[in-house]
Amino acid sequence: MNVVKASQIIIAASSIALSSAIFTLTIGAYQTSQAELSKLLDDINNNVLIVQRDWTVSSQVTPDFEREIKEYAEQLDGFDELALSAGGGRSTNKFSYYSILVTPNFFTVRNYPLHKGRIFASGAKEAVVGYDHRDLLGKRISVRGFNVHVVGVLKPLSRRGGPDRLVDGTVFLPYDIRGLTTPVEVFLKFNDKRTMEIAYGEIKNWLHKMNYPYTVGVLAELYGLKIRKNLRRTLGGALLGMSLIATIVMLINLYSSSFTLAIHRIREWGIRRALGASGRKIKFEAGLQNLRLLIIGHMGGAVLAVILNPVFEYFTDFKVTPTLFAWTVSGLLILTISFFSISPVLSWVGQQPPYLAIRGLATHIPRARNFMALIILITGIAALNVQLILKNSIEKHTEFMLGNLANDVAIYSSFLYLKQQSLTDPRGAAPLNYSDFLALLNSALADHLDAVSYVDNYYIFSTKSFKSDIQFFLRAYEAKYPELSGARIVLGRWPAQGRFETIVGSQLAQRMFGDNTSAIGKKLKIFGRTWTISGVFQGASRPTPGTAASDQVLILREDLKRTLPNGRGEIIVRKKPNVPDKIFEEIANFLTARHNSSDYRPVNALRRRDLAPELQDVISRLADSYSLLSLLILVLATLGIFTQTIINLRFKIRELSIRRAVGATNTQIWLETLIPATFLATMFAPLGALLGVAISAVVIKAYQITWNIPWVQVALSLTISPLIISCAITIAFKIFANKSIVEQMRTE
Amino acid sequence: MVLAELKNVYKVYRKGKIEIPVLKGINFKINKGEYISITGPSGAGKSTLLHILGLIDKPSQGDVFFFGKNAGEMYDHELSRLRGFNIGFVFQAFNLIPDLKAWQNVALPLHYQGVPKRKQKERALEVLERVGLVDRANHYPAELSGGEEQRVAIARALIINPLLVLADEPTGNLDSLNSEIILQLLEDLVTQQSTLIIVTHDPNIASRARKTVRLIDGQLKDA
Ligand SMILES: Nc1ncnc2c1ncn2[C@@H]1O[C@H](COP(=O)(O)OP(=O)(O)OP(=O)(O)O)[C@@H](O)[C@H]1O
Ligand SMILES: [Mg+2]
Repeated sequence: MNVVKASQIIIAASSIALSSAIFTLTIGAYQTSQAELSKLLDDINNNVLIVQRDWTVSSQVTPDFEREIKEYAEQLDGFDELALSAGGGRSTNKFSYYSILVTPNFFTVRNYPLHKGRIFASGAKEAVVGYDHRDLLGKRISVRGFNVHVVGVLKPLSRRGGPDRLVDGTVFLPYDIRGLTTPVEVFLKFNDKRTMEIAYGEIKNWLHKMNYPYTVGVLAELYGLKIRKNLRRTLGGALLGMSLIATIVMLINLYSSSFTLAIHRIREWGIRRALGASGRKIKFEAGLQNLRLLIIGHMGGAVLAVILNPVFEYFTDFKVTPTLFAWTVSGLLILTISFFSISPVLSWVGQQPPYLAIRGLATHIPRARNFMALIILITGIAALNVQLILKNSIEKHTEFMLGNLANDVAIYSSFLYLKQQSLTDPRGAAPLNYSDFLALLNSALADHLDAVSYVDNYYIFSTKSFKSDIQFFLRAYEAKYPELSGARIVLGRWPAQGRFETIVGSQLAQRMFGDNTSAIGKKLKIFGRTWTISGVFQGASRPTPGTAASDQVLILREDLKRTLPNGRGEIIVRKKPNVPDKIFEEIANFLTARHNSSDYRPVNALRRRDLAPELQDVISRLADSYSLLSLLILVLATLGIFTQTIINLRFKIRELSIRRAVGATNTQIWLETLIPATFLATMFAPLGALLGVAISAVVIKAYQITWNIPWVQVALSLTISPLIISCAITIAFKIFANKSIVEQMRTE
Repeated sequence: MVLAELKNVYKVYRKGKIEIPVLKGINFKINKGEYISITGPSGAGKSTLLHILGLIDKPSQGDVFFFGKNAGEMYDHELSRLRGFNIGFVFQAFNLIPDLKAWQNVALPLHYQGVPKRKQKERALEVLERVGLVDRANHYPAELSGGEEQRVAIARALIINPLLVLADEPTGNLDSLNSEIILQLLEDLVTQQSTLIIVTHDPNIASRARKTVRLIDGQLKDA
């Protein structure tokens, strides 16, 4: 029966290896981020205060602000210097760099070292660029209507993260290049940290007293907090969760296997004790056996950590380095934790009286082992459910964000969007317009399309309809838009042509009128005309290209009877069934050709998945790593259950053959074993599901995604544990059933 | 009437390349109501022969007939039924189940016959009474002496009122008084038309049987 013994060792060792690997990665990740943090703290000035424009307050900034804060700061203890920045950003439909205006000392205050060249002089028509723009050094470029000479390139800095995230793609211009400017950020450098801390309170009071719409903070905290937050989120969410679950599995598998291995040797130990070995000596021997197992497992853990590292980094986008230190610490942790599963076994071993042990008997064999197998199963089911629920919730959340946008729809937008928006590429988005739409309709490409629509977007800064100004996005659409937009009518109907009707998003309706019902029939003044609200729709939860969002207003483009110069067009198409996705690309090429200019990026088809950046984000990565983990755990749990069952039967084999000898049929014995075990597994399965729901609830709450339980799948997951248990028992029976009774009776 | 019959039965144990021939062509007819003792030197194959007769082991060659039917051609569950309803086996090594109390061990064959639990206990206590262990009914095997375990094993064989009792050294661990009680119990069965086969080293016990055979060199010889 050495196969069973070997499989037992393998299960325990691989559980230990998994735990050890995850521990190593957790510690490695913590170490890496700590190292990054301390390097960062060396790199950034930790004696700088940042005074930031508070956009939530709408009060005006007087031109005096700059002078006043300078005067105020100068009389503060330990004040060193002051730097200013203003107006970060770029425009979408033209060739434009992401730029920001800064004073020359900004670079020293922020500790942005130069890679090449020099810093610009105050007021000069010069620029300093981030590292990704290093090719521009020495050239003349046009930024915000200024023709500037690039005189310096900064070292790569975006890696610092936080407020330096965008530096490598930014063009820095002199703060006073366009005359008078109000600062968005003021940086106040002090001689040391202590004086900065004192100044913090004073500036806070001063800003409050003067009623300036600015807040003050410590610059270094913007980095630290960001990283720590990131660390806490990713580590807290994925790694700690993983470590915890892996530890449970390890503890249980280790307990079971060390116990099994102990029973294996109980008789041998009994004889040894009869021959003079002390109980302590026997315990020591049993402990040694486990120690070997731990060492083997932990070695495997090192290998596994190296294998899992890139997988983990890919999924969580979180840098981890499995260092020797991390591995050593994780080894010590595992050793300590495993004490909890090994020590009860050792004390059991020590307590066995030799007179019983010598007959291969034990005082009583703890039944906990079977119970533990169930706990593993519960953990496995919990993990599975976490994965099911998270995946489902994220999907639902995407739908909530994007509206019911179908999968065979593509959007061509005049907005720069997401992955298209790279800071180093100054090209703008091609301004698509109504004639592009008509051209597409008349082209051969239209044959492959089921529906094509067009929508013009306007930003309405105010409508005279209400006492307070309401700002919103207006979409003037062509027919077919209702079915392509992903918007769903919740009340009323879509506008009818020629009647100057409009339909509003539910979020906006509630903001303007209190609720959906009272919105119907109300009038809105847009572009000097009065529009009647004919319906309320439910769309995406935030504005995205093409799709209608719940805080927008839709009208028929035909009723508008004109195209405004600053409208931005979007074309939405749905392909016919069975037409390959390639058609979307062909349309993109068609539109690109119509706006052929080096000022514009090629037109891109935006699909549903492109519009959900969160899907690429940490939540879905988290869900993916949970999937990976729940798979691993289920596999380990199943393996654990299988060997546990085989071992249980192996210890009962003598008993079972005695039962057969006195007349039991194989079927009777099989059922006798199967029914209670399956019953137990069925009873415990809901516990696992419940645990899974609870864990998901925590994650979902933490990330504020839409809560959605896939009931059918959760219910199906309940059948897994009885299924695994009954399979295990049946397979074990198949192994033992047809063996000779007499031979089995001799086994001990 | 023939109850069981061995025809040209061989048994060879193989351990790797080494072959240990134990039974070498046994022909043995057992009639209903017979009382047979089997003697022979240690290692001669007496237990092996009894296992084959008890349908818990299979011959390497040759046939075993029970009620005239060839056991080699029966399904596993049929063999189980035959054992459970007709054969009472007293093992040389007792073979009690350590996790079950004495009475539960005794009642085991009834459990697999499908007898209701209450009835099982009733009958088990009756039989334990007969072997003088009713006060130990709730003890586990590990809490019993070797002789007591043996009596529990005998009670387990008797509980089904078997047609065939196969007793492998049933008095091996008993003092003379208890031996006598047990032998009396077993011999009572013969008067009730059961068949009794006893394996023993003790010539006194062997001579009580109506027929005595000796297993030597893998062959059965009348003694
Ligand atoms: N599974 C086995 N594998 C190999 N040899 C076996 C096996 N079982 C029994 N034997 C051998 O077969 C021979 C007969 O064994 P058996 O137990 O039938 O003897 P026995 O006559 O009952 O002896 P005893 O009087 O000591 O109980 C012995 O030599 C034994 O070593
Ligand atoms: Mg024997």
